[in-house]
Amino acid sequence: MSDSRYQVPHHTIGWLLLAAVWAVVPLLWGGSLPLLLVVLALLGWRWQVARGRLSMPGRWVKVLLLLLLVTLTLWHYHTLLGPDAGTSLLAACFVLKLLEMHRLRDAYVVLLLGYFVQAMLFLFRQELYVTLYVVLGFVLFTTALTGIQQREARPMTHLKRAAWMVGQAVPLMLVIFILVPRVAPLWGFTLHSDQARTGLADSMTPGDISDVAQSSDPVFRVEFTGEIPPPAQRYWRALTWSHFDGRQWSQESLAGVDEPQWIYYPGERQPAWLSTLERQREGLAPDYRYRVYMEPSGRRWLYALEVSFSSTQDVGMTPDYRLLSREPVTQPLAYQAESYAGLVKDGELSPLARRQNLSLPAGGNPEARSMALVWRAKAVSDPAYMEQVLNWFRTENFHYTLHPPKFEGVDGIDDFLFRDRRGFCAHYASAFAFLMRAAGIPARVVAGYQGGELSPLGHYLQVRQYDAHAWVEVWLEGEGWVQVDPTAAVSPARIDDGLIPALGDQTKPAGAAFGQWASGSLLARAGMLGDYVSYLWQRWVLSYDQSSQRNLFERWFSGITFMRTLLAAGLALLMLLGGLRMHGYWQRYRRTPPWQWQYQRLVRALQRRGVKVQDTDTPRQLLIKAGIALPAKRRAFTQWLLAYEALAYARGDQEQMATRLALLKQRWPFGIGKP
Amino acid sequence: MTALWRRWYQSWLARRVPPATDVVLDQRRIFIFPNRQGLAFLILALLLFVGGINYQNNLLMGFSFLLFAIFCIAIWHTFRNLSGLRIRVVDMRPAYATHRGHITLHLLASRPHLSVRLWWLTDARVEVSLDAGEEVRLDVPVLLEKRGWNRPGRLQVESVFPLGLIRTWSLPDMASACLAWPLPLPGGECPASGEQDKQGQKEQGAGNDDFAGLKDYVTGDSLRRIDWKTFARSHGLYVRHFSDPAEGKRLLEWERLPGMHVEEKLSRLCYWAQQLERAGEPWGLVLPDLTIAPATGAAHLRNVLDALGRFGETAP
Repeated sequence: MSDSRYQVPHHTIGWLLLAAVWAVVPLLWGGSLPLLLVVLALLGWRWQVARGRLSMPGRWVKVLLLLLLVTLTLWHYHTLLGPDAGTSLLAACFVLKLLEMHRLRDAYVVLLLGYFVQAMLFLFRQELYVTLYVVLGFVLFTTALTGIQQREARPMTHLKRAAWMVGQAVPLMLVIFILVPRVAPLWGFTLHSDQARTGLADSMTPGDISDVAQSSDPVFRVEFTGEIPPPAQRYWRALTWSHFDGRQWSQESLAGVDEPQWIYYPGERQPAWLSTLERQREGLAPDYRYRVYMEPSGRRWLYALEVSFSSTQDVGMTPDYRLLSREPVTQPLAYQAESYAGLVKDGELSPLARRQNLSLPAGGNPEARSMALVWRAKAVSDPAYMEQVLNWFRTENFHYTLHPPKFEGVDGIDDFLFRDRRGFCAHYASAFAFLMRAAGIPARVVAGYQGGELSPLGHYLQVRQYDAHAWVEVWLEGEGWVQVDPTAAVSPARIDDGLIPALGDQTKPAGAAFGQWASGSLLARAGMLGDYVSYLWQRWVLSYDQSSQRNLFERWFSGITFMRTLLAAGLALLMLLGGLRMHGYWQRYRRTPPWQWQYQRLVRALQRRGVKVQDTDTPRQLLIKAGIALPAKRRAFTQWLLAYEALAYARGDQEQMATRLALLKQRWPFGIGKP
Repeated sequence: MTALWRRWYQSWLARRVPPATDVVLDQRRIFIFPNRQGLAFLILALLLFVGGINYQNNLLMGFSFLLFAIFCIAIWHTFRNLSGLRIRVVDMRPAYATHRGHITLHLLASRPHLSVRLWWLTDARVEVSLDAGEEVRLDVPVLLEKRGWNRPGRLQVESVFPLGLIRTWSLPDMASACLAWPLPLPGGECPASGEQDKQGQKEQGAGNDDFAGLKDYVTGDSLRRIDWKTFARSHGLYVRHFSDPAEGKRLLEWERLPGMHVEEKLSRLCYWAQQLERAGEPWGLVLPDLTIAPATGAAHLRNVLDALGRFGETAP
């Protein structure tokens, strides 16, 4: 083999290693630290090999290294499958392959693998800046790919060439991106990344939500078609908690119940509970139509206004009127929904549901229990009792705070209600639901987000982690489930203006909020602009799917008929041919020096006047012929010829040439007033 | 079937890319197709596309489209890398039959042509990179299968630059041939004669092949025969003295090799021509249709070898 001792050219190895670092580090970052260090050490080794200080590892060393990489991956992830472990191992093996390049073919394998590893970043991150990062990585790998084609070259020429080519490829890529039909997944296959995320949890002890509220990470963005609900109606339901163990609220376990019996996915058979709802909905117009662009949460629950129906594939509806994704949301997700506010939810409550939503632990919180019983006995009705409790919250010295004390005892609710009356929404929701249940009224806690800020830049709401909220639903005879927000009684500002103003002088979560746009610093403005860009990114790129494609096509090419298509195609063809023709002319023009044009002009002029011109004529011969045919112009011809020869056969700088060309044009023998 | 196909292909190629000594590579003459790496690259793009569909990941899909797009762009760049290259045959360097000769090409670049490989023999590829306007002379080896003029077949010009994913190639028939001298065949009696016959007697032993002792230097003796070692030991100037199987004969004659095959005759003449040239005395050649007057020197030897090579051959 002539290339058995193949070496990556010295002008390219740097690019290759840079590209490898570029692709590998973000994948391993935040994963196993030892693995990252080993991989960096391997890259350093490869660099030393390139500089001639070390040699490539032998076969046994490579086997040991491979074992080491596998062990480190297993040690950290306890598996080799799954997206995190899989990509980490792939990235590590890619780096190991760099130490096994003995043939030109190996170089290609490494580079193709490199492109693949670089693309893997999109499994975890899809932000705009990550995309730019990946595109730069693409340029780097292309740089290395073009570098190995040359024996001798300056390194920068590779980068320039690659950037130029990628620059040309991007517009083509965009066209393909828009036009290639989107199809449904070929086989069911989801990623369950175990990367930790902040957000709502499965269950809540009062206090949990205030932790979430410390974060200003975006949770989702909502785009409305038509009206946007006022702040007081922006209750984004995510979870309902019916089970209370004295300290913690959690979802009722549905052990033994098959999911398909209680979750409805579009296109599947409607369960009984949905049919009653659908009957109510008939003939009504939805109150709000919206589209949610959701950041990955790693959870299945989605966010929706009260009684939302979605037609998006794999978005299911639950009997407690929530939307649920079929699989955990590990990638940005977009779904369509429309909400109906006036529907009666569960006009009848099944005995089981009633029991569940009334259940309380056997003991604990005696003061709250007795107060509930006494007050309910005095009140004329359930709503009257509810109103009394809310009023109590309103008038007594209750405080709304992000940093409440911990009520962790068995009598946590008593401690909160009767002693330290400082709490966050979760405390109020928890206590209120407790008071309702103690009085014999079915109640459950609802968790989700409340509010959202309207972007000053676009027509969308931005909901962040600190909008996390908990409130209560109470079941009333004849009305079904009714939403009650005890926090609103304590701090109306929380509902109307959002968390930040409601906190007043208290410490606020970090991060820019839209309210600050008008008065805000440059940084805040930049933050909001960034958010707007992320919204556009998610709106137009990440959630570009079958339906957006169809919409786009309909908008652009509405009323397309066969004839119009034909016409357009014909026009495009004509333009293409015309363009090519023009290109040809331009090429010929560029290659022909200016005096040639002048000469040809003269030839045409002489032919018109009957001079027989032959291709083999030299300029002098031609002008002698012309002088014979047109003796009156003989002097003019000579003058012209001298100017022509000065231009065609003499060298000179640009300026001199221009002067001579001007002279030649001036001596044109057939001008007006010329003899 | 295959033979039929090959014949059809060759005649098609002959029509499409006719022989010429001066060729500008253009659309007619250039072929282009993805190579193995290119197919692997496309498979990678397809893989990422399927991944993008399955994970509903638009960016993954976008990445695969970018791979595909740069592949398409690369087709254009790869084509341009070869297109516009002007190749002319300017010379050739003969060699003995069965050895490798060279055809000298002159390349002229209208635009940059990087990492272009040219060859007639797969194990002797010449790689060259040209900038716009640059010209270069290249000796490309050809195999000389027989004595006389050898047509090397179609020149292979190939490039995979800039990405190595697409191979573009051209097969111009350079309409040229390389001359092969007869392979020297030692042995036999020196087929030389002429006026040197008598002189040869006198100068017997002044030959070249077998060392026979030292002789006093006489003005006019070849400097090449002076025994410098002896001179260095201050023993005076001596001339090395050889007994020469040529026996002083200095005119190689075709006629003196009767009863042999033409090629064998030429091979023997070739061998003796070399011997006589090494002897350093003027010598000549007489062929049936050509006589080369006695002389010495590399140019003379080359003349004679060329004449032997051309013997009986029609010019290409």
